[in-house]
Amino acid sequence: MATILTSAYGTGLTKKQKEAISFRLDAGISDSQNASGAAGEDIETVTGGADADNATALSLNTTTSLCISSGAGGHVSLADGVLGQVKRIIHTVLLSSADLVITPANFAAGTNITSDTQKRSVTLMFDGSNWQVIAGEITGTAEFVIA
Amino acid sequence: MPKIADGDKQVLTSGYGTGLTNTQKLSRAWVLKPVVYSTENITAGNGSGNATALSTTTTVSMVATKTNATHVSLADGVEGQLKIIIHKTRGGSNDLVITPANFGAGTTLTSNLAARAVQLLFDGSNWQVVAGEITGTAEMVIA
Repeated sequence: MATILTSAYGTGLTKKQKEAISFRLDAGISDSQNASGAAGEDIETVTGGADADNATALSLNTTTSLCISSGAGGHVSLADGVLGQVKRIIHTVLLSSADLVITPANFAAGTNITSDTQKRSVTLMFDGSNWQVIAGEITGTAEFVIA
Repeated sequence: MPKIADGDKQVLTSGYGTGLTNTQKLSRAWVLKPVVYSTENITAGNGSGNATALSTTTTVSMVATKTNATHVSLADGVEGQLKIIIHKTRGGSNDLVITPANFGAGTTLTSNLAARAVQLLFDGSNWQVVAGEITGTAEMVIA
């Protein structure tokens, strides 16, 4: 007589089992803040470098980087993360008509990502070999342009 | 210092009645620094009848398609659950077809290019698209 497992790893977990092994994120806050709620202690703010060779490296120790592009430049770089790591990049300020250019060390969808307007964001996840775009304004009439 | 009285009136300036302070919010939160998701690598199945089931216990599924390997399925999650699906590699011009058991926006999601992703959230009844490359010239096409 065959045994039929209706709830186990072989055939899927019940909802209670899923909840038992999960972390409820209530609320999930990526990177800590100070008590005033202001970013600053851990969410980093960076100003882009003059060119690709002088790009400002984004931190791998914070989830969110707030980026400023200006007359001094708009180039930032992103080294490889760890498997599953999420990186959120927000183009907060654009000055002097300087675009933000993000160049990951390894990027699945191309070579770099460019934003030509402030207040935009893109979210990447490292798949073990490359950064993958998992969310953001990457559209046909591209706001963040992959090249 | 929370203000709890104004003359003969009770005034709650900090609490569930008027919202939490940032310190209170932080004390209830999981601080994720940096955020790292759980992942799985899978190969799609041969047709909708043999779709590979995506894990509902890992957040991210990275999917490869190739000849006779194009379909994946997604069972219901728990309310609030996030699922990210990345079409990591596409061999032999084979699209990825994702079929959630219950899907708020349609029946399936199809990707025709590698290095694309979609994020879904289970609302208690259906998977809802919350982020991803779902555009006018759609990259992940809802049908």
